Amino acid sequence: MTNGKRIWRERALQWVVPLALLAAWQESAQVGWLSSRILPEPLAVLKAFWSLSESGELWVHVKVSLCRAVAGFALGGGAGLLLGLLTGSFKTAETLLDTTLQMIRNIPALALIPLVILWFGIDEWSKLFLVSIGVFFPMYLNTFHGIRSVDRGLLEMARSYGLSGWPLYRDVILPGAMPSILVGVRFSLGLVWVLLIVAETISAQAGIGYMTMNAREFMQTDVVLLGILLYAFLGKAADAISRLLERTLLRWHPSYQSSGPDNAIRQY
Amino acid sequence: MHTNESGYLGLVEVGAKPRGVKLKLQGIGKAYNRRTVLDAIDLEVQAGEFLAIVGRSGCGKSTLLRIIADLEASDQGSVAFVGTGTSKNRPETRIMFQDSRLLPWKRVLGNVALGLPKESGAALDALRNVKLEERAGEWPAVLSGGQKQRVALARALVHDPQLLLLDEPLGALDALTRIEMQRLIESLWLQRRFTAVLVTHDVEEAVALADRVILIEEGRITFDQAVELPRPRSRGNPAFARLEEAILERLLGSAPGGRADPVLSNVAESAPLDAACA
Repeated sequence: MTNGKRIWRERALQWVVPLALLAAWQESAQVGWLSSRILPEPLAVLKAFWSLSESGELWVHVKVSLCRAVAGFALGGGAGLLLGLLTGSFKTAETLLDTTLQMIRNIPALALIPLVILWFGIDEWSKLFLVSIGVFFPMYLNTFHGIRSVDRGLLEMARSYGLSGWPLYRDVILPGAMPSILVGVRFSLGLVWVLLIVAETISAQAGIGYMTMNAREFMQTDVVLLGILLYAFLGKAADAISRLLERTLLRWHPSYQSSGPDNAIRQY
Repeated sequence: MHTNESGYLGLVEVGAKPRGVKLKLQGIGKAYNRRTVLDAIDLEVQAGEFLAIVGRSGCGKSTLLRIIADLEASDQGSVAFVGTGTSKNRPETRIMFQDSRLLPWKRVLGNVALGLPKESGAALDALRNVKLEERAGEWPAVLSGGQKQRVALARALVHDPQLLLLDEPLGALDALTRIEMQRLIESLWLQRRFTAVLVTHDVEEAVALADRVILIEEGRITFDQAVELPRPRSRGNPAFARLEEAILERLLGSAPGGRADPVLSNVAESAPLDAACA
C-alpha cells in the first residue's frame, strides 16, 4: 500500500503551511507585534467561540442565519428551478417569460437594497427577498440551459421507442438536464452566503452578521473574526452538500464513478 | 478477408414464419433548401427480407431510412406497410443508430427495459441473447463501443420488432468487432425473421448480411441486386468476392469526375471513397 501511504503524506503535507501560519500568528500576537485591536490572537478567537457557545448566544445567531439561508435558497432556488423547467420545456413559456427574466437578471441584487428596505423595512422579509432574488437567477439560467442542451439524439431515440409525456421527462429530459441544474445549485449555495452577509450587516436583530457588527461597536475583534470564520465554515459546508448531491445524482457520470485509479485523488 | 465460420451461432432456424412486414415506398421525394436528396424513390421490401442500401456519404440513404422510421417527413410520396397484424398502420419499428444512444444515467438493464412495462424478465433475456447478461448492472460509460451496440441491439429486439432499421450501426466499430456484430445480427434475424433495412457504406457488410443490395445515387436507386449466397456466408467464397467486387466497381464507376452533377459534386470533397476502406 505504498500508494495509500503517499496519499496520506500528501494529505498531511497540505496542512503544514496553514498550521505554520497559525503558529506564527499566535507567536507574534503573544510577543506583542500584533495589536489585539487589529488582529486578536488565535487563542482569543477560540476562547470567544467557547464562551459564546457556552452561553448559547452563538447558536442562536447561527440558527437564525442558517434558517434565513435555507428559506432563501428554497424560495429563490425553487422558483428558479420551476420557471427554468417551464421555459426550457415549453416554447410558449419561453417567449412569454424569458425576455422579461433576462432583463431583470441584469439588475444586481444588492442594488435593490434601498428599495427593499423601503418595501419591507428591516424585518425578516427584506433579507429573505434579497437572498431569494440573488439565488433565483443562477438556478433559472442553469435549469433552462440544461433542458435545452439535452442530447437531441437521445430524445429522438426515446421518442422512437414510444416514450412521451411524463416518462420521457423523467427518464430522459430531467436526468439529461441534471448536471447543469446542479451547477446552478452550487452557484446558488455560494451566493446565499454572500447575500446573507450583506443583508445581515445592514440591518438585523440577530444572526451572524448582526453578531459581528455588534462586536465591532465594542471593539471585540475576536468575535468579529469568529463571525467571519463561521461564514467561511458554513459556506464550505454548503459547498460540501452540493458536492454530495452531485455525487449521488450523477453517479452514472464517468467523472463520478468510484472505480477508477484516480478516485483517491479526487477525494479533495 | 478469410474468416472461418466456426464462431457462427448455431441458432439458425431456417423457414421460421416471417415476423416482418412488407414495406412499400412510392415516389418518395425529399429536398433540403431546394437541394434534392431523394428523387421519386419507389421501393418494395418483402416481409422478412434483409435489404441493404449502399451509397456514398450524403447520397440520401440515411434520409430514406429516417423517412421509413417516421423520424422525418417526406416532401412527396408515401410509405405503406402490409401485414402489420394490428389495427395500427405502423408496424412495431425499432431503429439502431451509428452511435448507440444509450441513456448514460440508466444501467445497462434499465436501458434495455426502456419503454417496457415494469418487472418484465424480457430485458434480461434480450441481454442474454447478445451475451451481455453479466454486465446488466453496469453503467453504459464503462462498456466498449461494440458492447454498447450490442446493448442497443438488445434494446431494439426486446420489443420483438416487425421492422428493424439499421443506420450504419457498425460504422464506428473495429473490423473484428464488426464481423462479430454482423454474425449476431444475422443469427437474430434468422431466428425471428423481422424485416430489416440496413444502411451502410461498407459493401462487404451489405453482401455479408443482405438478401438484396440496392445502390442509391443522386437520390435515385440506380442498382438493385439480389444476393443469392447460402448462409452462413463466407467472405472467402469466390462468389462472395465477385459480387462485392461488382458492387464496389459499380459504386466507384459512378465517381463524380465525369459528370457535372450539382448534388454529387457537393459531397465529393467530403466523401472519400468510403466504400473502399471497408
